Amino acid sequence: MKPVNFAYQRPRHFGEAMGLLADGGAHAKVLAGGQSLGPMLNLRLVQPELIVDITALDELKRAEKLGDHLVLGACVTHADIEDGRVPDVTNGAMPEVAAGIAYRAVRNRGTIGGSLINADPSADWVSALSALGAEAIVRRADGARTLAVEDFVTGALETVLGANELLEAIRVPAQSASAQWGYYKVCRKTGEYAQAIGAVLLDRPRNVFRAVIGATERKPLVLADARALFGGSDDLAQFDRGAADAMLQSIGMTDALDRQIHTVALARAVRQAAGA
Amino acid sequence: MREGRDLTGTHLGCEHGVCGACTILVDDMPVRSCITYAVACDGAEVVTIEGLDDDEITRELREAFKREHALQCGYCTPGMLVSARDLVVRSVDADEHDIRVAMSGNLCRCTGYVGIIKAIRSVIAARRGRDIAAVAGGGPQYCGSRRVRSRQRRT
Amino acid sequence: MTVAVDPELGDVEILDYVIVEDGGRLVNPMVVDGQIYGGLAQGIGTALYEEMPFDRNGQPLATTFADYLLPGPTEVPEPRLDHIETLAPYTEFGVKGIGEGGAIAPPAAIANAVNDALKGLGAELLYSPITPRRVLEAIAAAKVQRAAVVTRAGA
Repeated sequence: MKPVNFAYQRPRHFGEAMGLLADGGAHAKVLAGGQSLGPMLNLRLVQPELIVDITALDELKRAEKLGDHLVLGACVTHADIEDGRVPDVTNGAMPEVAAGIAYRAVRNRGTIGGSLINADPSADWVSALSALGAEAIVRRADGARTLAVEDFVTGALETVLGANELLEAIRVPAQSASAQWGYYKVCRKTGEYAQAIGAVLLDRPRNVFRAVIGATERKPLVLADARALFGGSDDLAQFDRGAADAMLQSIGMTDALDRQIHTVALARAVRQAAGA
Repeated sequence: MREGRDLTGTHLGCEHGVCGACTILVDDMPVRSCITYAVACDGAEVVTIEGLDDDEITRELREAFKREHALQCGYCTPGMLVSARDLVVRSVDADEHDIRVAMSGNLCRCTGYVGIIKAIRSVIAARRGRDIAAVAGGGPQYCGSRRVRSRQRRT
Repeated sequence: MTVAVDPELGDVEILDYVIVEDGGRLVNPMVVDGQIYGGLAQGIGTALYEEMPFDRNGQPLATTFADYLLPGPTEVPEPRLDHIETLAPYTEFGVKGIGEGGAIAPPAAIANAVNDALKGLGAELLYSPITPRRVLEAIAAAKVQRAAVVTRAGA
């Protein structure tokens, strides 16, 4: 239960970090909070030659409202969001999701960027940020690109992040005060990874109606237009479990009981959103 | 910590971040020492259970733990005390369920948690009763998991 | 004891748990209580959470605490606890051992409570741990059986 020997670098500038990663290639791993990478190292699921610790890069810790978006650096921790040390534009949705991640000691160091890059299908941010319509800002030496979170995560533990790229920040659109949000996690016990996640966002002033079924052991099922699950309407009372079941079948969930718990997770998230 | 500095109060449990037996304070925050590299703590203030010998809150917790039989073998206890201390500092109006949720990152095989939860509740109640307010919103005064300048207390 | 079973997700929640134990003359009542609480936690683990499966090649499938679930503070309630002291005729002071009793009863008590909760659906579980998956499978199997009976009756 000890990691392999590795070299460790903690660059202070973005360019330095990119250089180290370029030199290290496939033998280098990026370390932020270490809450996902740490166990993998200890279990020797990964055996890098170089660890590049990015927690000294100030660019990755920003937290600011820019226009009608919140920009959070990749190294902002779950506890920062939970405690309200960073601004919130989601009417409390993000702090609440953050507070449900693992345990406090993990939240003190685990980062929102690290969680997204690890792309564990059961991770909260992967599903929650997809439901919130958030975007990922990816930076490379010669520029940056922005893409929707649901396009950033391509599969279980897979993202589009290239060899010479770093996730720099997350952009979250500000919600209207009247937005309705529901998030339901099916867990065996407090703090463990989810067995199923349901999330729904109905923000009529912004013409946004999104739904996500997550923890599916693959990339989450994301509906940028959730009306297909509500009989074509935006009435939360019309949630169609049969339609959700059919969609889960179409993404390859062959087990009926699996589909049941995922459908129920979304149904309960919808109920939460309706009750708000 | 254990072998170089003889600070054997911090225990090795699961070594993958779940059991909490390794919990220590880094820059005033409970963290899992089993997945925190010493080299990554360059410039940080690291406090193990030994460093809380004279800490006022931890002293109250130790008394309460003894009184409520909150430890049997003692293996989880240092981690429990570190996590409990953080909860006592930050908890505004935690009820029993909130305390249980907050402590769910520390596993115990001996006590069934009854004494532990009672001890923590009693210390929170006693301190609030003496008008010691919670530091609501958390202890750390900065963003990101590492601070890069000296500690600034919120007054 | 009382449980609530979620028929859609299969979750089992312990609402109330009463333990009455007989340890003969209790030498240190605080320690006796501690043993019972700890035993309850272990019994809840056996009843609902802990499982060590192996695949066809004998490889263990639960190798981390992500798979092997240990009960934490939110999984173990504080039971209502009472004692009877029937003095043992064969021991000095009439003492009896109490270290094992706490862990032995819960799997049976919890399983019986779950089966009582599910009897309206005709579902029964005879295997531990009673995971949400097994609860849902038992409910689904009972549904199939009932449908078969109806078909036969109608034929």
